[in-house]
Amino acid sequence: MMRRLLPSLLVMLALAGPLPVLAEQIASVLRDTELRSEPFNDASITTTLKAKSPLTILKRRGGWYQARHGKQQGWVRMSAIRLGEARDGGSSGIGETLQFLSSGRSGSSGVTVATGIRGLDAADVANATPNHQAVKSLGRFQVTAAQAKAFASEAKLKSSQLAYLKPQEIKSDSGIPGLGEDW
Amino acid sequence: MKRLLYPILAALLLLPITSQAGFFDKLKEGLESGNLDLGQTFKSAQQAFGEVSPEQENAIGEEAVAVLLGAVPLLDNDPLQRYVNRVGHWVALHTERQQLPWRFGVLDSDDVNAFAAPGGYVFVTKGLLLRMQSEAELAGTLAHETVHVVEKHYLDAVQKQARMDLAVNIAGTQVDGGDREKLERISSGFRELYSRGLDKEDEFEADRKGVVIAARSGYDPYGLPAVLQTLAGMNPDDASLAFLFKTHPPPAKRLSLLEPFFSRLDPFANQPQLQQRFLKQMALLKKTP
Repeated sequence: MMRRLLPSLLVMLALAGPLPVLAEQIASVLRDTELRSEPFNDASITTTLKAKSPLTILKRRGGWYQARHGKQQGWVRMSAIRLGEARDGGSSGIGETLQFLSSGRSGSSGVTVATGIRGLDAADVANATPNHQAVKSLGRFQVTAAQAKAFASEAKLKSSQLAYLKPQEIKSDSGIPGLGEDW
Repeated sequence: MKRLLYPILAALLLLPITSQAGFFDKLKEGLESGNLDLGQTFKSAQQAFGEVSPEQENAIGEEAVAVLLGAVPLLDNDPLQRYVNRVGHWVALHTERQQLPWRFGVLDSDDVNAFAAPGGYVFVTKGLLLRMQSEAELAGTLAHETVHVVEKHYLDAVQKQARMDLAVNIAGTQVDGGDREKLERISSGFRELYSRGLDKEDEFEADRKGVVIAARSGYDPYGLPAVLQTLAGMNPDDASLAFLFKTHPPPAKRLSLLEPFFSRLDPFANQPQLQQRFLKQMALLKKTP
């Protein structure tokens, strides 16, 4: 198990204790798309967004993100945007340091707890000494099918039926995967 | 009845001809050159090698997991480990191999990654868990990993890697003497395989089937795409992504291959994300030293 050496700045920040980082997510529009009033294809159009428009993401529902653009708010298709974390425009160092530490971000609570950074890389695996004892310890947490079903029904999860998706089903006019579809 | 049977038989006979032709050409080529490499001639290890028995697969899986857990320890947090097992096992019940002794584990690493091993093992790092927002995202990620087990991606790859027929070369549960040596060969195959990663087509297949398995399990199937969005949005130079990016196709590419299927997932989009249940469990992580 290798521990990555931290730049001294990171160590100092980590020692300073839990570090709150704003979890507000920014995103940008991949291609011209619509901001809609509801997360449905046939919902009314709030505004049209040009490619590269910046957005602030509020939440997700299915394949839609609720987003803010300037003073307007609505729903945008997941496939039309790419998330991006807020970066200090042009600055080096600090923005990335905060991002690095923000690996402790916990969901939408927006609070980051930075702990010691423990990495895992190809060399760790390539040089690993097999640990058979640890394999056995996994049995402690194993659950039965009945326990898994009970836990699912506590949250009212219900099985659905859906056939596997086959790549040959997709007809793409543009020839570029993912870009030839109309929603 | 007979009149129906003949055209069907004819069709069945005709269908594989194109693929068979390529196979026989290669075999002929190999025999003539005296340089026959079965591992390369056959398209998949399942064709090249015998069917591995469940006992053998379990023994192989144990070696694989021993390598992984030799590189990174399990997170010392029993409630969270049990939570991931409950979610994972429920998801695995919606695959074609629901009878496997599924075992899930959270790895104590800030790195963002997930792994599977033959026999029904699935792992996710703490670093990846912390990037997730809901149980649907966890379920989608675990579903992706179960596909690697169900489709025997690691099993096939390690057989090619170690160039050995695991079906005849290991005796299964009785592992001693000569078998020990073979298991060490498997270990070294997995060291190489985990550090290199699976074929990118295996990853795309796991994405495509993973979203379906999540939908079948009653979750909002956009959990996995949402995780891929998060990864695509992270700074690619983030050190915690280096290993994942070395072993997987870029998340934006994986998303673009899933996006044409979104219309098929939409009927299931209102199934629960279970954000509250997930965040409640994640709060346990903060108590981990």
